[in-house]
Amino acid sequence: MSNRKIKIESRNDQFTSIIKSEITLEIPADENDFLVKEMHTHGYNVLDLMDSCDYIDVFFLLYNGDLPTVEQKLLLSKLSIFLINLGPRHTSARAAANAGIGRTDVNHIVPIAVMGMSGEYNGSKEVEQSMRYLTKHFTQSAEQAINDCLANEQEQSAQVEAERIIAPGFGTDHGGQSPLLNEVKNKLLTISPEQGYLQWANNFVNAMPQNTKCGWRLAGLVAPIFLDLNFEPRMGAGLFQMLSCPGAFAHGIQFSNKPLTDMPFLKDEDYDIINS
Amino acid sequence: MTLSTANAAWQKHRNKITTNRGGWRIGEAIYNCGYSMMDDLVGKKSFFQTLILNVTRRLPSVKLADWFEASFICLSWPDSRIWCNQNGALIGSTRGSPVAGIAAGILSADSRMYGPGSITGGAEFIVRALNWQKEGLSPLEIIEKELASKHTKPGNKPVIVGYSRPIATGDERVEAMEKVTASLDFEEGEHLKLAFKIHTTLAEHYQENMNYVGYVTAFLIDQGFSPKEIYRIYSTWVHSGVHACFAEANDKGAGEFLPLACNDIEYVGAAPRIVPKR
Repeated sequence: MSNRKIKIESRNDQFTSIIKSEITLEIPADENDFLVKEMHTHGYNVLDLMDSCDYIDVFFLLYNGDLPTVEQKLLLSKLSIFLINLGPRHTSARAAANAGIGRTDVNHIVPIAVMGMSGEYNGSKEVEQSMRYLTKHFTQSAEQAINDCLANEQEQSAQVEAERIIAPGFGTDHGGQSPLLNEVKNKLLTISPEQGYLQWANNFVNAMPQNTKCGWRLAGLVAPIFLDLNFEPRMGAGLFQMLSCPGAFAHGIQFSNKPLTDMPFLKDEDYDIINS
Repeated sequence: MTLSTANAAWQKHRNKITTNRGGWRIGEAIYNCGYSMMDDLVGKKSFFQTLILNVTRRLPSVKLADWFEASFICLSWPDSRIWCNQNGALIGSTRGSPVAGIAAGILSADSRMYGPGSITGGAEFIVRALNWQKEGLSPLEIIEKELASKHTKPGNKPVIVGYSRPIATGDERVEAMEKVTASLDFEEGEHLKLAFKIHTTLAEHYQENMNYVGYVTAFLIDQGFSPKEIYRIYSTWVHSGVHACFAEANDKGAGEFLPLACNDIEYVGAAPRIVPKR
């Protein structure tokens, strides 16, 4: 052991002495450094933003540094309305509902809901991964990309799960394709940029052989729109979480004043312990 | 309209849970992986034995559970400058609930730089490395092959997960756990032996050393744990230090922990501008 003695040394990294922000300027009050008399977001006075903009404008501004164009605003607005309620069956809503009915401090319902939507299956991780996939393959032809996916899938061969996911955000959805998601996609396609990521993703899905039963998953629709709006892949998970959170919270908070018996609790015969 | 085959496949999971982990049979017993909690575990097995049983369905020996307990101590200490600990302290200072503070600290350490978030990368590397060694690669060739396969931002030093550490080089916890490993009479397995060869080679050629995750993952792979199991067991790895930082900040005056004045933030963004007519 003695010859493995490890010397612990500081790397002497040069850490900054002050936090920098590219987003917010806070001008302190005259007599108290901790109070704000004026605040700017990406250069715009918050009071002016309140007078001239709506929530979608400022949401876009925060992450892009500039106010959206008319086209960008329309696309983000319609996507936000779709995502605002993923329904009571989405894991985020179910996690929030379990917290609500379980009398969890209502202060925690939103963070629990957000964690409930963080997975790589139907969650924000899948959105991030899909954005990374699309940015990597965007310059490929959709046909070549789909052929690569199918070849790669064959190499990995063991497809043991009920779902077939051939690329992040693309594959089957409960073994099939969601008619609603398809309608939403058609609506968003009409207002998305020509030659943009959503158009590429549409070509990608159209190039999938029909016998695969593969197509759009939720993340595969959200990811290219985020990219068309100039959001970076590393932002995708958080943006999805924020846009989808209101519905999850609504489904959770509605149970916070309901009797415990208002949610199912499986009977023993439906809870099968196989090695008790 | 006929229902699809896929629909039928999902239907069989509705309103039904089948579990090999256990549960509560009211009036009969509480079961953990085949054991009766009150009869077989409480007062007879340690918390860490029970934790590992619940994760893996395998009841570990007392000495292995003791090793895990020691390894939990090592990862977490009460320094509120550390990112996960600081989040615990901030939430403590703003009078958040301890559960929120500790949960935020634990979640913060799900990081590719430190904490449990780096376990999978470290574990998968040493498994890959041993396969390469068996194919005839030397430790230096293993290092070079691993670094060549990594995408590193220009200007950044290439890093092998488990063999680098933020803030400092070297890791005192490796030596501490070596003592624990020896005192509990564990043999060094093939992954851990290779990990030390990589450590020595890295120190010679790249001035980097094995870190704690590198040591723990190599040891536990030798003990038969999968990378996924190790990640699951260590998911709360940092909580002890977060607890300390939360508690201290929570005991002090509200908001007193590292308050920021406006001028503590240097604004480097767009100059003040007029909102265009919309």
